[in-house]
Amino acid sequence: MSGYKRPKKIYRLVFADPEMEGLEVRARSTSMGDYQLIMRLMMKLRQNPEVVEEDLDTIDDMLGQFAKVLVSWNLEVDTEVNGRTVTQPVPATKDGLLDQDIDFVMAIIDAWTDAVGGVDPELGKDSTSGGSFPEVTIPMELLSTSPGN
Amino acid sequence: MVITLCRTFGCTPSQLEREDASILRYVNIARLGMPQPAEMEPGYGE
Repeated sequence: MSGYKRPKKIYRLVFADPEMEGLEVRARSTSMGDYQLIMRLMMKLRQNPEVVEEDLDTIDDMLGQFAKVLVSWNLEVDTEVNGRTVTQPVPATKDGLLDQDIDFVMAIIDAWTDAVGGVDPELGKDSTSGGSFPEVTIPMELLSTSPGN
Repeated sequence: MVITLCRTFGCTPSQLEREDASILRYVNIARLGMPQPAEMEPGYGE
């Protein structure tokens, strides 16, 4: 009997930001080790709002890691070919990620980290968070003593 | 966080690193079900 490897779960990311409306990204889950590495690189980049030279290595590492989980997207770009504008798909690879604005890529990675490890903010909103249930008195009536009634 | 998760699941950090990151979702859901310190009644957990 041949072996079976359980495939990683694939998440379909959609975006609430009107500027990213229509973008669909599919990305798979990853190991805790790689997830933490991407989170650390994201936090490192967020420490300085301005991108400085030393951030370039961090960006390169982060996009390299994220490219491993990026399955596909519907991102397209207009390019000039022989004086004509041609719409072409952007490859879902590290090179494709490197061609994008860093803010755009970070928004995608944010959506991915939320999808993989986050919880819907609405979940548990009305929950008592494990607190004890309020005690109530259940009204009871005496049972009839006659088995025939 | 790693040490807390290792304690929770009874595994080593290297084992945890190989685990799928989606376990974080379960951890977060479980956290939502835990009483927050302000909500705990006197004597909770004794």
